[in-house]
Amino acid sequence: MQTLTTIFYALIAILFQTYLPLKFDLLLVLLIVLSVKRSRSETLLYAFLGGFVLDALSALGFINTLSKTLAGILANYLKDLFSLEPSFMALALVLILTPLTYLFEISALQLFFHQSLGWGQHLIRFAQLMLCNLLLTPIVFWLI
Amino acid sequence: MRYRSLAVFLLLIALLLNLPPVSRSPVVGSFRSTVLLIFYPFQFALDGLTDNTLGLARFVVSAKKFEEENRQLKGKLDMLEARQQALSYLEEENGSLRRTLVFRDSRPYKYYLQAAEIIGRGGNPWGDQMIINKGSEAGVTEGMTVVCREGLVGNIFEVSKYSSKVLLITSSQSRVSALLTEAGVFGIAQGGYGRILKLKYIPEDTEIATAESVVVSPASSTYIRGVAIGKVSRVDRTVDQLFCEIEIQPAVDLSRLGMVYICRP
Repeated sequence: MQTLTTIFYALIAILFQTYLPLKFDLLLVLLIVLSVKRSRSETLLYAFLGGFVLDALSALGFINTLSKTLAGILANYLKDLFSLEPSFMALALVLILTPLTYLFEISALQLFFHQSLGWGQHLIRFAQLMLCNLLLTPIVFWLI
Repeated sequence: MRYRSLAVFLLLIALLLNLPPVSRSPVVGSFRSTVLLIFYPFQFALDGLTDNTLGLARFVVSAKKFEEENRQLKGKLDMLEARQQALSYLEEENGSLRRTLVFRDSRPYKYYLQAAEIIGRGGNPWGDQMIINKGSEAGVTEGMTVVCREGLVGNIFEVSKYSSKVLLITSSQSRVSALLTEAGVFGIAQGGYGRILKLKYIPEDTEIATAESVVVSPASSTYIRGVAIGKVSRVDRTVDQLFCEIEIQPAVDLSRLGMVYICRP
């Protein structure tokens, strides 16, 4: 039942992320919360499969698969380094992993697809992404 | 140990998937099509849900507005005015639909224009693509040009049974052979710069008028010739000594599209 619920939330996250042109990364938030609440292997599987489905629905290679898998590995590693209350741990991981994932994705896009945006645009996108992810974390934490 | 093996295994697969020979292989392509096919009903439902929710919100707002007006004027005149407003909205909507029909039936590019609705915007925040509700069952094939009333939108790059993906002209992967209409010079309109395009390989000494129109060149094998791409918004002659770089404001506001047309022979 728990697995089915998580798959349902993952599908909702992917669907919203692909349909709405909004600046949040619900899948990243979901897998960070999973890393805090569930087993490491489960987090990793959701990260890889979620990223893969997200990439299958988009145009640019398999960057999400790679970035979300890396984010899953990092989240599993970082949560063992510090001892915080789970909800604070999730927020701290979102604070750390959102910029890292964003940097990785724009670097990969620049490298593989020569996507170039001005620094101003990047800053605005990043600020929106960070704010939305932080606001979504408590909701996802409560749901999972 | 088991977790480490799994992490290394998944990471290797993720890396392999990003290698061009693997990502462009038919196996991965069929995986993508299957996922798209599975997600189509959900995207379609979400699209309908969003439309209905917005419609309901608009209805509530309008009803409240009319109620306030009724309270202020308290009479028959208000009723007539409200009716007038409703009629003018219908007239506007009617005009818009009529223009759309005229555009579709006029066959401006000598092609049959098949209307399609946008049901998704893709999985990344870069706005590179969109998903439309017409697929191979409706006769859509890869490479077909997608336009709207204002001009060029992009082309079909992936088709599944009931939906297709459109690569937008603003995508970093998009290159369009373009023609400056007044100067009569050819160049390449390239995406990957946010909402604008850059026209490259235009000789440095070319005279370029402000807001000069840019259209798909007759030499293009991918897109239909003559379709409007946009207008010149800025010319930079300091890039190098051979070519200047031109910024183009696309003719189509890609963030506000609701319906597009697939050009079919």
